[in-house]
Amino acid sequence: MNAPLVDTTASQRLAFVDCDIHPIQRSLADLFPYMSARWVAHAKSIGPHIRQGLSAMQAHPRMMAAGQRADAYPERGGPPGSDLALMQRQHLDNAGVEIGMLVSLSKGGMEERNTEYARVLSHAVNDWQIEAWVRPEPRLRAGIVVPQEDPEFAAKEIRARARAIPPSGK
Amino acid sequence: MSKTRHVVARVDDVPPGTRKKIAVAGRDIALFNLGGAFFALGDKCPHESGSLCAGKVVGLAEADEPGRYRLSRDGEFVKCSWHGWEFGIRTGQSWCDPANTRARAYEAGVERGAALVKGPYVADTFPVAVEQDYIVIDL
Amino acid sequence: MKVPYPGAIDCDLHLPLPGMAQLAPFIDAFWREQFLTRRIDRMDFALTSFPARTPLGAREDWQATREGETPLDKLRREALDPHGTRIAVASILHGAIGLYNDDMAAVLCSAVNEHMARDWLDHEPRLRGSILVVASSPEHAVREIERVAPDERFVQALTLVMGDTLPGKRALWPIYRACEKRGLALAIHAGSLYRQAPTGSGWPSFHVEDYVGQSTAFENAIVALLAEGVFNEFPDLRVVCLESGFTWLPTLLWRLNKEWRGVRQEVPWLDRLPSEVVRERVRLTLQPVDAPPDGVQLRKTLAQIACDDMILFSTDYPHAQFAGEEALPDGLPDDLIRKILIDNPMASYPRLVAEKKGGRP
Repeated sequence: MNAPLVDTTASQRLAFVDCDIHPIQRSLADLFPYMSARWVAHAKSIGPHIRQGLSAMQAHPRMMAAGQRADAYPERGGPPGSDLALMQRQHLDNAGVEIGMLVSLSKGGMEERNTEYARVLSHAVNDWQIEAWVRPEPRLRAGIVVPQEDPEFAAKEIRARARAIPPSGK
Repeated sequence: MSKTRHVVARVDDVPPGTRKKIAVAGRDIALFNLGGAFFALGDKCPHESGSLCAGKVVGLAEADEPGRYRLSRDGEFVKCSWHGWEFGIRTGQSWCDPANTRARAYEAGVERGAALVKGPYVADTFPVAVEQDYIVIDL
Repeated sequence: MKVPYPGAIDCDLHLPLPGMAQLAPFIDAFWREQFLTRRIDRMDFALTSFPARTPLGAREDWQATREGETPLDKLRREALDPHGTRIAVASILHGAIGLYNDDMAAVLCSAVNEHMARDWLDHEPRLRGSILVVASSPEHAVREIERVAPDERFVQALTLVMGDTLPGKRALWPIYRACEKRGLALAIHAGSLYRQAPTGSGWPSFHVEDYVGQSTAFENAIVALLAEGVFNEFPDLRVVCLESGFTWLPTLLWRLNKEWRGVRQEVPWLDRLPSEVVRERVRLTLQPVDAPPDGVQLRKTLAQIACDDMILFSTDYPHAQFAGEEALPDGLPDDLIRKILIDNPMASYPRLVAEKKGGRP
């Protein structure tokens, strides 16, 4: 008796790797645990210093909710992408994401003009990705953010992060 | 102190539209021929002492409104060779500050050689011929 | 020192940024829906040039609102009453002018100007308004000036010193023509839209560099206005520099006069001493006073500026420029104080001149 080439009775599941998921802080205060007191004070008083006329919004407002899913605003407040539980429910579970790669675009020091503050921010965002996202949700992977016009620091940060043991132990 | 009249050049030496630098009694002087009339200015810009004789002879740039340029009084000004300040050749006055910023102007004229040989002129640099016309300046 | 007698005219006072809820009544259905569906209503429209939390931003003792106090009560208590202010020229530095979509920017500017008229000017007769305009689109700017101009309480059109282009450029002249025609001063406020780096050599790292560099930008602006011929083309236009400082003026005037002598053929319409034109046509507000507290220095600088007509009283409220109610620097001669507080402002804004003539308050 010939066996079927494909076992059509087995349950099937499409699982995939999402290479572009954007997490964001509810506010800059989410990064304070990963910054020294000196830089927390800087963040609170001096604040960001960037290369555009509007300090906290896009000068080309997007057609949909700052370019994001309008249904992704968390109930507890904050911008889309700032709530892990919502991300799990709405995206990771719903779409069957097996591995989700974080691309943390905002406040990663990439746009900050003050070189030292940019370093502090990128380092903090990298810590925050691990602690706030990857540890509680093993499906997620962090993406190292660096100030790209600061190659010396960027390379150091990349080396240090690349050597670190993944939090899941894998 | 009374002025002395110096014979400084032959008229033929400074054709219309040109200028010539001369030295008279230890002073450098820029001699201009403006359409047949002669004018002499101390060859020393009152700003930083640049040579006026080495500057360009120009007209007056004017504008009735922004972007509408006009050039008038062709050849009546000299731009200092160093910083471009403009001086009226006839008077030595600067265009920008005529009252206070001016090049020293000397009276210049033309005399027949026949008149000059009688004196009391000073012609220390070249011989004067009776039949020639000469530029004289009072100093 | 404190303002010694009532009647001052404060030429630079800032009203708080209105939220979208306050602007909504002045926005049409199409744009209201755009702002709602695009979540633009959640954005704060703060300009990078005015970082809210820096030590030079809002004065600490002015940050709290007392219980039961309206924003207007607060303004009266903190900014108008303490100085015996008779007239205050107010502005709202709204980030609408930082948008790239000129239509959207213009709609928001109109809303800000309407908010100024309805929510502030209607309720406080001491206030005068500034027409916020999209300078990057002269067409929109002119339309807005024409729309608002019939309201005589608006006395100037407001732009930033560092926009898309230098303030003298001829593409902007329709704005200046409209201002002149309508008797509005052209107000140029410190700040940048950051359309390009704020220095000629790229991007500074620190706020302090951007902040100190404002005076250079004002120098550039004044030279551009002169060189491009704005003062020739618009003989009745007045320019008021807001938050510009003024102690840099003597060296600028000296250099302008000096360089003009050598290169004036390039700009032959500039047919008299540039310093004379600047003294006649440009005004600068008092605060922040960029001089040491020692009045001797300040008097020397004012003597070098050699014109008592140029400085206009300002508090720059709510920015932290002075302590307590000491809105005037020490060392000013009495007659100059009077000119700065009252006479100069009354002579500088064509609409205040008209008010005075018309006997209105």
